Amino acid sequence: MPAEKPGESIFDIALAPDDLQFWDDDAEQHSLVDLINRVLDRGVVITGDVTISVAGVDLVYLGLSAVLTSVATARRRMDRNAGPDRTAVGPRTPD
Amino acid sequence: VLHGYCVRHAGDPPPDPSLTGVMGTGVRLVEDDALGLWVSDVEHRPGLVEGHLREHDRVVRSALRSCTPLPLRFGATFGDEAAALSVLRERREQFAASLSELANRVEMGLRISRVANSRSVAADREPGNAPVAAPRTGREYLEARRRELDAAASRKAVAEEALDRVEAGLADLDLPTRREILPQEGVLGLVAHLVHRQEIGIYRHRVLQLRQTLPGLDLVASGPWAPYSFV
Repeated sequence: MPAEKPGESIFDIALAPDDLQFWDDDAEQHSLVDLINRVLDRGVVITGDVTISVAGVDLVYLGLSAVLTSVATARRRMDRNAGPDRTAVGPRTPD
Repeated sequence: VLHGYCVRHAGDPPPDPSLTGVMGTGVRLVEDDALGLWVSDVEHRPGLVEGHLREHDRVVRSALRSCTPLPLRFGATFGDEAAALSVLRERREQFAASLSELANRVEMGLRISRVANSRSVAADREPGNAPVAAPRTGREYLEARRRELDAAASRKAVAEEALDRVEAGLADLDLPTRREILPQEGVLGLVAHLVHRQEIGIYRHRVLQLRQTLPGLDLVASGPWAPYSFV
């Protein structure tokens, strides 16, 4: 396997124009489902970590659609209340 | 507290001083002799809002530009630097092994949907599509419930068939693959591939070709991502 070269950009390759929606400014606006699927549902979970909670309900383990629904609900609540950010993180339930 | 983004080998390039993380914070490196952790000092844990998710991923993608990191799931926080270093020490072997395994590789994603106005034969067969009156008796309720379950099973079968076709079309690339069926309304599935950096161009070319051979399916590719689906 060839050695990874620090500083070598892979995005120059990936951003050559074509009709695929690889990362660029426009694609970012259309990829929330891809983003949530990874950032909230995947990745390394640290022991002693937190589980994201909205209104006291742990979300990380409820699955993507539940998260999407709950985010929308939380936003509506925030809009209605016009108060501080009520989406919060709480202590993680041990696995 | 410290908000964590990703783990890297000690000695890998540090965050750019101009890089901003969640809530507009700077990004810095917490490092021991083997591993490094990209973190931001935050006054409180970031809330679950789209902007913070994008800020988090922007930092991880910044790390990805130089070397493939182990991305942390959003929400990882540490009480202080000592707590962060403690986690690095406790999981040193696991993190180091994963970093070596994933070096030079990135995640590419495919989101598969049905083309608008395109209905498969299977979809037409789906029970439960016709309007049904509200159940008036227990028997009608149970029958309606059975139709709902049949419809769900049918939707899952259609989605799995679509993802099987996509994966079969790229099978000769022999890429590590993860899939998720029906992650969201209107999306049949998500497929993630682990691709060597030097083969991103080949992968993209093959996805373009594949799309031409799958009428009725809409393929949206995204990436390169940090290997969120492979850690």
